[in-house]
Amino acid sequence: MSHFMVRLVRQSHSRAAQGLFRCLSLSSTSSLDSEDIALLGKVADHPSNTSKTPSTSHIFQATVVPSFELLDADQMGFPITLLGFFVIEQTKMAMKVSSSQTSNSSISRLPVEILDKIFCELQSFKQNDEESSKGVPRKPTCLAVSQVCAHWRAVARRCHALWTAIPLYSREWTDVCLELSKPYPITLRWVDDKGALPDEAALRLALGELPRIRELVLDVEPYLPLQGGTSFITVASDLLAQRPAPNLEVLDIRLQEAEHTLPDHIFSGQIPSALRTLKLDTCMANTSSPLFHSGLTELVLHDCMLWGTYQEMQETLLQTPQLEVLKLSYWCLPRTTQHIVLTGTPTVLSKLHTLELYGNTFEIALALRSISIPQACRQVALTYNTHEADFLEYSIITLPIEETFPLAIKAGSYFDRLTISMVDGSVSSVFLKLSEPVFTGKPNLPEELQLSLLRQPLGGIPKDAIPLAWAVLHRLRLSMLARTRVIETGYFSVDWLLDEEWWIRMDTFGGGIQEIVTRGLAACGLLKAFRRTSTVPDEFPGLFFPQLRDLTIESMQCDEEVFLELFAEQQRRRHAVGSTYRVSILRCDVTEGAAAKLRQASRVGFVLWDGDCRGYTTRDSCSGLSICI
Amino acid sequence: MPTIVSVDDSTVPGEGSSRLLLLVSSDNKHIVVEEDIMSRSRFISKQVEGFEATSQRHAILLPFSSFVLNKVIEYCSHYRGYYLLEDDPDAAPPGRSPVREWDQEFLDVDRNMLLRIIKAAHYLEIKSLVGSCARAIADMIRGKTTEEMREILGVENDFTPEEEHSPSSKCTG
Repeated sequence: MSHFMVRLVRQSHSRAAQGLFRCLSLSSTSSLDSEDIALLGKVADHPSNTSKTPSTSHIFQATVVPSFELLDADQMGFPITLLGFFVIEQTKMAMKVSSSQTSNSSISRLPVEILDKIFCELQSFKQNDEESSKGVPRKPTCLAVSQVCAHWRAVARRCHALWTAIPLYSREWTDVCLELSKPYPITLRWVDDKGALPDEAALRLALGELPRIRELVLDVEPYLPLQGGTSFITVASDLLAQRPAPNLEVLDIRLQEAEHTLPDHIFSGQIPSALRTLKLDTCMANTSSPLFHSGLTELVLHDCMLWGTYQEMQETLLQTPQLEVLKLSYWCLPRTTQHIVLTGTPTVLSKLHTLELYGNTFEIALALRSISIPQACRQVALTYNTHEADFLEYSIITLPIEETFPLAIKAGSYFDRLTISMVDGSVSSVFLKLSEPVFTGKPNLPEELQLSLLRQPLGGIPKDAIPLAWAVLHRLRLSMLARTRVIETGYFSVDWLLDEEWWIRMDTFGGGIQEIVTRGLAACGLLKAFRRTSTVPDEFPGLFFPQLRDLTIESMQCDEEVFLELFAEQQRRRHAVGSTYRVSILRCDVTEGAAAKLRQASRVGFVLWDGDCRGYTTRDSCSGLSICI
Repeated sequence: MPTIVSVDDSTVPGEGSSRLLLLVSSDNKHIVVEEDIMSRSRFISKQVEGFEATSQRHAILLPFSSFVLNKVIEYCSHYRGYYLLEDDPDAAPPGRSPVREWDQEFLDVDRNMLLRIIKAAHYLEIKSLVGSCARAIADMIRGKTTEEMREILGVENDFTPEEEHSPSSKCTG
């Protein structure tokens, strides 16, 4: 009997496929004898096989499958004889082979179905982005495709989906696309890239097909002049009010730099029943307009003064019970509502799975009180310090931090994660607030409360506030730039670690503009106590917090001495620092000696290296350092 | 249609319950693969259904090379057991193919190979693979000029000058 090699083949380069794909490759270096054939079974009387019996010498040609790892037959455990169930008629196979050769240049002769599929994939998300180069309109892809060759043109004309993204540069192009996309719903997107201007006639033509529009995205400076000279928004607003939009599923209007109000009777006052996603940015709308209807599933409002009162906001939410995504940014309820007494039952949004709130603490608190949030809903909140001088553009927010922070904390109790970004030294007030009995008694706070200080130079945090704050918070991160010079002010800092010229960012270390901090402290009656401390005490209660999770030092030059001191301190405190597990050192110059010390520092859980290495430090000296306790 | 050769058989054992199929490429390479892996191919599934009617086992001759066939099998192996909407004959076909990271890496091949794979996938009626290939090809030509498209895909311009430079209102013929 001839010798067969039967091999189990596995893909070696696809982990997911390993163990799944088994392929047998047959090999015979000589013709089969009769015994082999008997073992392999006999050819059936299939009509296609009756005329010719395959020559056995052709049946099992050597077939080493490229790019596969071949294993021995023994490993597969298959009876060799069973392979004989597969018998090939060689002559017909040869015929098929000759007819199936693929030409390298056969793209133009791709089957219509394939070409059609490719064209469908060409629907663009931002057609004017790709069709405008340096302000010069480029022919839309759909038109370019149709001019490649006759075959492509014929297919393109029949592929309606190809034409559904309507260009706005030229009336002629718009006309062609509107015609060839019929009767399909169309998409109209204009993302202002400061390039070529849209054509007024084209815009009028396209918006005239409002009943066919499925997706309308306008991201423009509202008073962008059209080629005809009229402002974009004037034309668009006018046209949006003229017809219903029964097929509209997505309406996304982002107006840059200036506010504009959509017409009250948008879509002829008829509810766009297919509308699921409504996104408005710096674009007002009357809450009684048909835009807010029960079918909405995603509502994203940014910088929209949509509601005059808390009750109005609640009424709107009552109209949209199917909401799954709600994102509100700076929706700016007027100040007059700040002291209203909130009553009534929260609106139930049972399908809500994403809630993102960005704004002042008052807005956030109101929103949270307005909504009954499902248990599994992902919630994120971001609020800012509310000093008027810090965010002039949000001048409506004028509550001082002392008033808003408790609200923020209360709002935070609703969230898994709360980020508060502050722009001045009022951090002292934050900590002092945190130390109040109302918080220390029951830390009903988010698991991660992140406080980010955005402005530098910064000083320190009042020493008494820090441990108190940590007694309350589960987790706190303060990111800021600090200079060690402020050590002389009597606030905690890190001069024992850093030279005064080094800029650092250390999580959990605080600071603030000295004057503001001082003022804040004075207001809290602590200034006197602080003045008594002119030098840094030996112990830094704020440095090694019992629940410290992350310590990041960024962009500093650390010589060996500094690190020796750092880790001597770390080791000295090792028994008190149970949960510190990660230290990140970013973009720092570290000597090899210091790196060695880092490796030995038992208190450091993890050191990350990220940045350029200069001088005597090599990346290898620190890369991947993992120092486990 | 492929050449089908039948043989008498009772059962062909394999791991688990999946049977084996013999696929023969145009360059005469014989590849045995579990039927389960290739079930994503509507073409193969239909062939197998025919086999069952005759209680016979068959080999399926395919009009593309083993190199291409291996790629297709690799794809099918990767998604073995996975539900892909595009391959569901009962589901409404999606307008555009979803972006799958693995597919993008898998299809990071030269133009000719990409064209061969999409043809093979089309022949085998593997809609998900056709869609991914189509997306890859579309990405190659999106935003390009007509000339660039011809150059990228090696398409010959068969228009007369009049046809080619027709006014835009007649640009589609």
